[in-house]
Amino acid sequence: MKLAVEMAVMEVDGEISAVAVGGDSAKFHGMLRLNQSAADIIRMLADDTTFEQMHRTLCEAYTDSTPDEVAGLLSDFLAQLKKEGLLTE
Amino acid sequence: MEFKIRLADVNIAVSSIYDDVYRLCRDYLTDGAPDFCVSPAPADIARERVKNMREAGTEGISPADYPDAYLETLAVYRRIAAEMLRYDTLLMHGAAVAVKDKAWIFTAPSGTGKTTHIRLWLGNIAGSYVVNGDKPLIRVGEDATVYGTPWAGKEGMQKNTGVKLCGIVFLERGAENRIGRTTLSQSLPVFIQQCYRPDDKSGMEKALALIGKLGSRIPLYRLQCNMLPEAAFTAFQTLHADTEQEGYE
Repeated sequence: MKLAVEMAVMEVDGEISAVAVGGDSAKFHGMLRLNQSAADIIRMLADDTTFEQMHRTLCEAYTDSTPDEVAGLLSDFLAQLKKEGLLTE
Repeated sequence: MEFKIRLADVNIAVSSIYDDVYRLCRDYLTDGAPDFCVSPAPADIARERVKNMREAGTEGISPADYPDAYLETLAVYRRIAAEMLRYDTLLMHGAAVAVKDKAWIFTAPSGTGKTTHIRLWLGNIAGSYVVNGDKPLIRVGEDATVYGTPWAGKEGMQKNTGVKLCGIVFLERGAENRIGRTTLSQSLPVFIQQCYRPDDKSGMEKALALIGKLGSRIPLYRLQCNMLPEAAFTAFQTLHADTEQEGYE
């Protein structure tokens, strides 16, 4: 899976946002406000990846969460992206 | 046609197919050595036509049948805006108005009343003048400077000058006149929407970085206003007082 549109990520005063880039931005007016883990997921989805690859990377980065917690958060965020039409399988 | 212009302290060589770009830019001609060149191709003009049709479709209106010569002027400015990011300079859709050596930009989606509001300034605020009525350039350094450009909307209100930018005002229509500070976080979606957004990821990241830098260095305001002269007085009193207080000398 990967993002259906290319997205640029910005960080200002500790707040992270993602904005669609280029011709595809006509399909998505607006921006996503992200926490750090969501920003990590957006960055990973710039290239084709799998749930398992992202889960592994996030588990290594967020050691204070259990693998099940990470899987739950990852599933929820991917479902949101899919609902917004921002994810291709 | 080949000529050179100076925008935001940067020299640009322009090679255009039609003369309209030259006529548009005649207040900005220079003999200086160019920092970069723009040379739009017919494909750029075709792209502007498609973009215009797509935007008209989004707004639910019939697309205007603009001549290629006009579309080329848009293509030239789009190329310039993309290059200007390398000089920490951002194109913003908004009306920049100044009093003496201090300027403010009023920004809002088209049709909200930016031009109406700055006309209220011109008619009621002594010494006010328009730096650019539609698409000024902003150089973001330790301070921010707003520059006039030839691309100034259908009214053509512009002046070939650079003025210290003391604030950005997000304008909304309202029954009463009210102005207050807003934060970068609150205004970010509109802020981004109103700035030039490149078609490539690295350009977009540069533009976003400049927006973040600009928004954290100068005050941001939300103005709700009507079309009466009081709207200009309300805005000016607050903007001027804040500028004095913050030591924008």
